[in-house]
Amino acid sequence: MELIRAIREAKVGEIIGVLSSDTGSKRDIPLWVSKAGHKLIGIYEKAGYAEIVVQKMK
Amino acid sequence: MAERLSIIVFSGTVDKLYPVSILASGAVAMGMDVDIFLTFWGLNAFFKDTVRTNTRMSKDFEDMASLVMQVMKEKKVPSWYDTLKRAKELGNVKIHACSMTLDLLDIKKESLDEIVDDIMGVGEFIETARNSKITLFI
Repeated sequence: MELIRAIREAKVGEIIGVLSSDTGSKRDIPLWVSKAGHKLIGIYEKAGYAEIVVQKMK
Repeated sequence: MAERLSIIVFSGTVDKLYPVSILASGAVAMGMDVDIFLTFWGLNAFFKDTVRTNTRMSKDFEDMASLVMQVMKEKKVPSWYDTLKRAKELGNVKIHACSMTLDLLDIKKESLDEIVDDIMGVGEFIETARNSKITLFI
């Protein structure tokens, strides 16, 4: 939900990083990104959380 | 046109109100519209003065109630109410109060929390559910 709000407030082309310790996010977020027409830049595993980087495409 | 998730909320315990708001959030995230029908205990949970202070838990699990509330607090989990409010801010979530329950228990719309949009009869909600991709009873 935080990502949705951030994407709404961002300009097209801006890149947003989501930090999540919820394992569901690693699946939910890419699913949402493709459905919403944005670009998944990458998922980076860190200690105890994942960093999911998304670019607003429209 | 967006697909719809309809939820009939009959329950009024916190453990069951959480899935209502989380499922609504998930639907909003997936680009769906959400229509929520509050009836009986579900409607009872949306009174202005008690909506944020409800601590009721399903009777079967009442021995776990304080543990659950404690874990939620420790992990800083937003309340079911705030989760629902957030879903409403980010998507098309409409919350309807069941007219029959209102009449039965002599409830005025003014005593319901502002998050409730309007009053709906069961027939109208059945039509809403008929035009929904997913309908749930919680």
